[in-house]
Amino acid sequence: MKIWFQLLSSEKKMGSFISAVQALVDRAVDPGTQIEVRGTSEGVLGDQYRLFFQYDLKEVIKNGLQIRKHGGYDAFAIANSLDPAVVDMREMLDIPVLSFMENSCFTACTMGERFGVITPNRKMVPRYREIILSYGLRDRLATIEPIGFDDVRAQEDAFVHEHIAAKVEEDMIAATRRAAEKGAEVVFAAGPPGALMAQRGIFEVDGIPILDTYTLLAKAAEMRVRMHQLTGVSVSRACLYQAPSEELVRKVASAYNIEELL
Amino acid sequence: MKIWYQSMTNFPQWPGYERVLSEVLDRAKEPGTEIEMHGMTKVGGIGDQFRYLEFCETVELFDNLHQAIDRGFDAFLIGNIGEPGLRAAREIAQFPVLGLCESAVHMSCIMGGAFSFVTINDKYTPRIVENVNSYGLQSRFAGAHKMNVTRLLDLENGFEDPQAKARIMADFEAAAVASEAAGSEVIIAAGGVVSALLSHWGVHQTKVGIPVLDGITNLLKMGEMAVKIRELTGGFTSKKRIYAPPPQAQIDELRKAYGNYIYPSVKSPR
Repeated sequence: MKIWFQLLSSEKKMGSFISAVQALVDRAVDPGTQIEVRGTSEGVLGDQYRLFFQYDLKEVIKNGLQIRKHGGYDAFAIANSLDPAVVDMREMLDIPVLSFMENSCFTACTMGERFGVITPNRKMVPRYREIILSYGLRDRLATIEPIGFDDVRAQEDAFVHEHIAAKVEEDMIAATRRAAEKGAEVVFAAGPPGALMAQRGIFEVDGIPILDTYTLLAKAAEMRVRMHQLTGVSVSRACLYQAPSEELVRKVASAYNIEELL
Repeated sequence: MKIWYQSMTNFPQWPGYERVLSEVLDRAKEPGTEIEMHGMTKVGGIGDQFRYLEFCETVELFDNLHQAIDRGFDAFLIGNIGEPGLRAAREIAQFPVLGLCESAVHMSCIMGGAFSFVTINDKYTPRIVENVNSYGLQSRFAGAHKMNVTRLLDLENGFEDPQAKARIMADFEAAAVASEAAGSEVIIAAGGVVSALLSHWGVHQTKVGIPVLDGITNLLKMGEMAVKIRELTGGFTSKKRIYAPPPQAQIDELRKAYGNYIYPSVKSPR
């Protein structure tokens, strides 16, 4: 099976992080599974700001619609924690569409009663709270703990320079401990620090599991593909993910000149 | 990997279910996955809708969990919608323990905005509601709608008898229609046996196109995933707070009071 694994990070400027994710998922997938880790052209330059996030979102949508048009993939895994275009892609694609955040949250709920999320910076805390509340998991969320990446692009440096990696590791450990004090039984990082911890072989702090989120998403994508093959169903078309009619798709494509839909 | 699949039925009384459950699991498992199905052999296995009878059966479930630990299994799956013993089993075992209800609810939340249950009868409904509340997912829950099967063993006929199949299917469809009217986008058949029947009949959507989650397949696939995650990262269930076993300092005292075999993963400090 072939899985498109969509990060928001720039392919040109965050290559070390993207390579780290590729290595993590490659070590984990079953024989016969191919995961294509992809980024965007300029992404994660300032995604804590809603407007800037929209520009990266467009590229995710474009990639998803290309897959809709040309096929070739068995799942579209959205590997960014801000849920870019998750609902949009579930509406439009007939293959499983996975969300990093949703997958991490529900798995954490299987592993413990309450979970904590570590975010790159303080500005992102309310956004992540919104996302988790939208899943209905208010009662399972113990805390959201920021670390110090006000410049989100600088997360790349942790995959290039050992002294920065060591500092991020230290920050992650401290944030995990803060989360544990607030009742978290499981934690995960919303973004690259999670990959860094996995790369360094750190999967727990003081007995609190730290999710290897990208690996988990890759394994979940394999599972969803198998479920799709076995049952023919990947998503409900009843309401939230109802797909537009082909006639409406054509009309919209023509009105907005959307090449991928034409 | 070796997976222990624990049904709460007594297989000799459910030959159709035993056969079909085995087929569903065999079809869904990955190459290299070995599954052992177990039912209730010491007590019951025909009436877990009653809380007291469920309690009686749960004792055997824990005996089996200990066997699974001793025999080196990699995961223990509770294939019952009430998930008896789930939290205690997670306290006891180091390997992943997953339940039919929780895994189905989580997957349903990924597949649609709101989910519902079709329960076999009214008696079972409060049990399901309790589970949903414990997951904190009330806001995604579009209700539980009942079939009218008051004697669980009546479901067994559906595996072989076309008339029973038609009757059960009509009952299920009527409840599914009520689910859709209540705003459900994904339906979970509340029970391993009904889930097996639907999977056996190839029913993955209702007549009006609402997905019916194949809970057994989903449970197995999630179980396999959890095992692989544990292999890769060294752990799965958090042992802090809710699933924490007793501390080493207390284990000798507790074993003296409850028996030597409790919490085999906790080493005596002596």
